[in-house]
Amino acid sequence: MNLVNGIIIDEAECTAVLENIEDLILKTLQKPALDVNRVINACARLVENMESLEIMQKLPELGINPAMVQMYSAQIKESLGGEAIRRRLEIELGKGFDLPKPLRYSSNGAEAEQRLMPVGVIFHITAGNVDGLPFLSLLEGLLTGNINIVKLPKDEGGITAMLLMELFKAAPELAEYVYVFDYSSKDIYAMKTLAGLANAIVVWGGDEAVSAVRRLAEPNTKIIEWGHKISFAYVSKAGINQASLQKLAQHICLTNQLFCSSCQGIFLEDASETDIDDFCKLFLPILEQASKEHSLAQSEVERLFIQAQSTLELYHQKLERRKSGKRIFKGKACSITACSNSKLEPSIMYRNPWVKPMLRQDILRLRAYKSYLQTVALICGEEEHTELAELLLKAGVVKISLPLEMSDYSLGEAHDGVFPLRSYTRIISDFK
Amino acid sequence: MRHRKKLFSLKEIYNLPASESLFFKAMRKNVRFHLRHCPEYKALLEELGFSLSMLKKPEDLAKIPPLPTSYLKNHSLVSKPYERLLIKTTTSGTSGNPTQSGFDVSSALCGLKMLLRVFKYHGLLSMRRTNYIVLGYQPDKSNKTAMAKALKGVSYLAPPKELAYALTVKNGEYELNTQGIVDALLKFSKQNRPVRIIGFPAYFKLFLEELDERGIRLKLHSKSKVLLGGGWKSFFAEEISKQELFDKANKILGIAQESFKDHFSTAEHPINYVDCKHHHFHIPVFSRVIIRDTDTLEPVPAGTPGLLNLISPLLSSVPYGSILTDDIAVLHEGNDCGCGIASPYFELLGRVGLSSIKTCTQAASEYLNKI
Repeated sequence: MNLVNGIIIDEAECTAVLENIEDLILKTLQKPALDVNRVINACARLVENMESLEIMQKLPELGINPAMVQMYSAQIKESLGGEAIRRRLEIELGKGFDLPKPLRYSSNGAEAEQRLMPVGVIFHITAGNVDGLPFLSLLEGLLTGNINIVKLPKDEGGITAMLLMELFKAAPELAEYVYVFDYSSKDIYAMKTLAGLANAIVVWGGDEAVSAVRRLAEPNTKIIEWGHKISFAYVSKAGINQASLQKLAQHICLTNQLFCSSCQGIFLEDASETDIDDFCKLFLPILEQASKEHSLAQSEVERLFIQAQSTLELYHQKLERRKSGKRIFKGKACSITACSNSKLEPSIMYRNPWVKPMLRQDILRLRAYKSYLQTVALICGEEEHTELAELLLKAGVVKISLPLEMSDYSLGEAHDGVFPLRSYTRIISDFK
Repeated sequence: MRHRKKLFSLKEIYNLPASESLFFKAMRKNVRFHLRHCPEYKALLEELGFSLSMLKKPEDLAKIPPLPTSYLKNHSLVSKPYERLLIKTTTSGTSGNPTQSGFDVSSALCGLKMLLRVFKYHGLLSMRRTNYIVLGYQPDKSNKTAMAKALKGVSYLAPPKELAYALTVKNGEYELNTQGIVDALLKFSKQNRPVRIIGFPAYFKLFLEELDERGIRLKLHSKSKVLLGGGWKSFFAEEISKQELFDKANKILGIAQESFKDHFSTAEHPINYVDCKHHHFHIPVFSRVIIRDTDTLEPVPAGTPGLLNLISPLLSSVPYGSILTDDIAVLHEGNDCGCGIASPYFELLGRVGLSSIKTCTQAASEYLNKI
């Protein structure tokens, strides 16, 4: 769905917009800066009306798990209410972020002021793995006063446009700050045109998407990368307990291992091959139970296709096990793959985690994975926590979490180790 | 391999009960042959706990570990030197890792017999010179895909007078030849000669739309036929049914529904499945189909959807006797169809979502996305 100036437009109209989008942007830039309070109030209105919004009824139809709808709705309420946004702005941009700060040059005593401004135009290239992501990404752009161009992921389902229309009802003047397109990333002309207009490109997605944007962007365009991450659980022998493992299993089944913050696998500390296998045998029934409690997909057809994909991949791994040494523990609608190496890698997803050994002294070696590292559920003895957390964070991990809460977001929490709003702004100084 | 020879000489191509014992023996021989001649295959099957002694009765064929098509894209398994094969084919000419497949002389002879029997049964053999619209690749030295070869083969079922290709080679690259096809159709429609349109359904739809947009209405010769194959799956996103396509073709080209034939075959399992008058793929005596549970891979009964496992003793060149495709399909009892063919038929529901596996048809769909 394409949305320009608050109006849904078709493909032909998009082509026309693309031809004169620069003029449209210049026209908006000539106007007084966007008042952040207008954005905050519009968000607050959206949250107030959340329950009655047509879109909330539509989410299950779009195949989104009801449990996830509840979680999203709670998270949106918590993070988009007026007070919440103001707090987030203060946490990320600093208290009094909207006020100029004086500067004084010691050489000649001249005075200037320093203040925050938007980067200008942000081109958001969004991914499809998190529902509602395009909307949240562009909202961050709006909150920092930017003009936002959004490339929707394939099969987005219209969520972004629906939410935006609600937002514009409360603050119609925001409409000219938002351009939403569903161009394919293969449409090089459109992608290059839009990238050329942007001061910054925000890219969500895997290595391929990030590399493609690096090729697409001119050297003078800032790239803000929210690339794919790998999250995992770290379990020490002292930490193994039924309750924690149950919570980890719940998390795996609730997120289907699809998010950057979803647990892909478990590193079992100082484990021999037998320890690994014993752990798999212990964890499998727990995972099976959690899998039974949470449906894999919204519809039976969807379940069939998703499950067939994982099963084929598991079978493929089984055929290759002579070479790989992997051992597969198959449960009902889930599995655990036991490996002998300590390589960090994504799982097959959809309830098929791996278990690998990790020596405590080797934790720092994870630093080789650099920015892939994100969240770790640390399941260990109380007395070990500080040391293990320290090692994991030093290796490059940005968040140590409880098992069930790996994908939870707290207001003002950094994303992948940075405050996003800071990346969407610049600090300028102006002589008086 | 005399059982195979006998099997592929059977005249009643949909009499499964009569072929049961012969099929089982041919299959057992096939597995034994490959275990002896392909050490990798032997190691693989042993690793999975399979031994030939497990094959005692026809139902035991389900115990042969099927090889997934995705696995064959990364592993080359051959029982005869690949360079000495009579016909070499690879899957997916444009992207992904190709699977090497092919026919040695004896497989090719059996395959040819099957091809003629199946196509004759479905009224597709004709001595009349015919014009062809090939909705696929123009043969080129650089293109070894099974699809390109199959299309070439199919164009011999009736002697060709003139051929027009949807994908033609220009400057060493394949290009969509929309105008050429439109011109050819206009020209052919004026001749008193049947036209055969063969190839990918996705292209067929595209060309119908093109003709429709130009307001073209034709009445092709009454003996004209449309033979499609390799890719209803790509239509799932567009939710277009075969019926809608037939109706459209009838409106634009004047082709009757009975003149449509759908064809299914893969490089790994080159059995010719041609649809019946109700457009169902019944299983011929040359193969068997098992649908497997999407979680446990155990066989499921008719009516339950699952992963499509295709079984045939046709190839002695490669150990592809039992192949696990990445298609989701469902098996139906033959009598549910009502066309008169008693053997069960399978219905393809779509492809599992593995982006690492690309097939010919998906690659073709990618061409469509580029225009």
